[in-house]
Amino acid sequence: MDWGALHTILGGVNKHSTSIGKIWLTVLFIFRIMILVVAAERVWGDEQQDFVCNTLQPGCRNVCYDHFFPISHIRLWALQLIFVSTPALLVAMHVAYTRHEKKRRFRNGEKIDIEELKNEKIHIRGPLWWTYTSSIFFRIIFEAVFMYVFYYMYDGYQMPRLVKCNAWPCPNTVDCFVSRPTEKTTFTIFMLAVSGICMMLNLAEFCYLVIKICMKEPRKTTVLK
Amino acid sequence: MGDWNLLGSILEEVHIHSTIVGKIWLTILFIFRMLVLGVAAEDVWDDEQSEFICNTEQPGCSNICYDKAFPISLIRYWVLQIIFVSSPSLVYMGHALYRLRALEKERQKRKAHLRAQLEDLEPMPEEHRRVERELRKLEEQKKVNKAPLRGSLLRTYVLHILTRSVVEVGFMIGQYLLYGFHMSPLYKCTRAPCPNTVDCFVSRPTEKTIFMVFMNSIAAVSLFLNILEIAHLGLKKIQKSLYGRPRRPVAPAEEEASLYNSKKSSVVPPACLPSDVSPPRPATAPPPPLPHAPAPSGPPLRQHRGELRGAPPPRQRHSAAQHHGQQPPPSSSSEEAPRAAAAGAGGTPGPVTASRRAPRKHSRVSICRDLEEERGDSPDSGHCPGTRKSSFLSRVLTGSRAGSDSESADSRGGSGPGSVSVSGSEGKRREESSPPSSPPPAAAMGRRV
Repeated sequence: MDWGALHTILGGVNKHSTSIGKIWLTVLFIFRIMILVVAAERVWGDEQQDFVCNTLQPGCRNVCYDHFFPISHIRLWALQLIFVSTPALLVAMHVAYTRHEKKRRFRNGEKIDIEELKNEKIHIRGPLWWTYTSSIFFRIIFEAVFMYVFYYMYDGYQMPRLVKCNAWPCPNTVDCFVSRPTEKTTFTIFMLAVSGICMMLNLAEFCYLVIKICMKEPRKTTVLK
Repeated sequence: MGDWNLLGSILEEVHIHSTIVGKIWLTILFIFRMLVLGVAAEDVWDDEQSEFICNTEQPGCSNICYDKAFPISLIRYWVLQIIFVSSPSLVYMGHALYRLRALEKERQKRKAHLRAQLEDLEPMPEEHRRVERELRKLEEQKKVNKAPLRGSLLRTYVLHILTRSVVEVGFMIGQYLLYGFHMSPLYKCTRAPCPNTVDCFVSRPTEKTIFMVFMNSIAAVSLFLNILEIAHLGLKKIQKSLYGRPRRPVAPAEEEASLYNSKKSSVVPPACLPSDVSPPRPATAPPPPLPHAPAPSGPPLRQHRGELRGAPPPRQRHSAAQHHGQQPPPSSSSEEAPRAAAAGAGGTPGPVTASRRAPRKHSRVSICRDLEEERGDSPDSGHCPGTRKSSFLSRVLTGSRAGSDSESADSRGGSGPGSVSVSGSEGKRREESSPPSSPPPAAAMGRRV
């Protein structure tokens, strides 16, 4: 799985984020994407081959595996990471659009401060504030949804050692044994914890932005008075 | 093992902001842990489960026994160890970058302020020249690449080393509890559905033992380097305080302040008193008409004060005159500086308007505290000690010259900024003779704004 492309895209977003946003991005890359690629993928690598069922019935093992693992953890995490990173692209697009507009106005002869244009530091104000805040809001939503999906699909966050399967064509009830359940539980809980941390960072950033804009409003009105 | 590039690139950034021992630690991390893990150890543990053979035909027994024998594979454990041990460095790097950005911002602000001053002070040629000189110096300065290891940054650094050590020890203990130091070839398993007790055989036990011992010893070496780094920083601090003590037979706060004031390349007002921000103005004595010789390290400090206020605080002159004969110059500057800080912080007449007083006061308090911290902590071990020495020497050697200059300048009259600033600029020039030390003084000055 090639996460390099995501890294290059999100690297640009980093410049226009708040400090909390930068921390979030670092946590995302180091503690989630990296762990996923470097460690977790290996743990789930032999998921199906080492899924052993106590039966000689052909096809029973496949059916049971499919029944208990409709979508592998690894794929779910990959989807979660992609969904959670996507709102940041909205911000990047908005910033690019703003800069494009400025350049266009400059080319049309309007007086624009070249220093500011070159400076590239775009403050989170006005429409950008709305884009940024809504991106954080969507991030939070996506995180929560995926955490719930994990819980719902696998009945909690613990990987069972033994699953009893009676899907056709398995005869009666068959014992099936999951490969590396403890290690998988460890990584599931680790990824859950990091998701929780990311969600808290997003919440903090959201509150910070809201408070910032609320504090600006009263000052503006007092100045006008 | 997958993609270590991301962590590698971030740690390379950390490399720039580390001390020598820190760089060695990072190199060991890269070569003896990441590289060995990716290139060698991974293949040893590749067939861990497929070759875990149990003496039974019971389906599922192998899986279950493997799970019991290896709750977490050592490879993954080492990956987690590397990531967790590297994480504190990221925090430190964040702080260092933030500091760097702050320094650069101060420099820019200072430049802007000087430019504004330049426009204001057109008529007075000497003022103009002085401001021009400063502006030129600021512009000539190279952008700082590495934040100086002082104050809160040094604290973060020490904290990050301690955290790293604790995490390292934690992981080493965890590894011992999980697997010990040795991988035995036979594992006896009694978990359902295995019937009774089943013999299970681990794949490549000797090779795994070798790698376990190797990774453990590398972890121990890293831990030792962490301890060495802390000791090195601590030793430097002890040396500094010991070195300063016998030379000045005065009050410890002052002598330490003076020592740091003279030793440090950045201009730091010693012993800033945060609580003393707004002393009652009437308490200061009326300015005595005494010329006096401020300390060689004092002039740059004085220059700050003079720029921000109309006249130098009278108490400062008075005390300086008192102390000049008794103490060596740096002490007198330290004596004056707190009073300067105290008196000046109270707000003064002169070019500074009252509206600016409050934010300036606040900033000065924070600056004082920050600079005091910087002064108080041991300096960066990898950051040009020789340069500091030369600036200290130059200041000491040319102390008398500075004194006479400022004396003549002061005697010129109560135009505070002018008189003080001439001596200040000269002192600053001497300081700036050592290039790496130049960013801190400018930054310190910039922060004055």
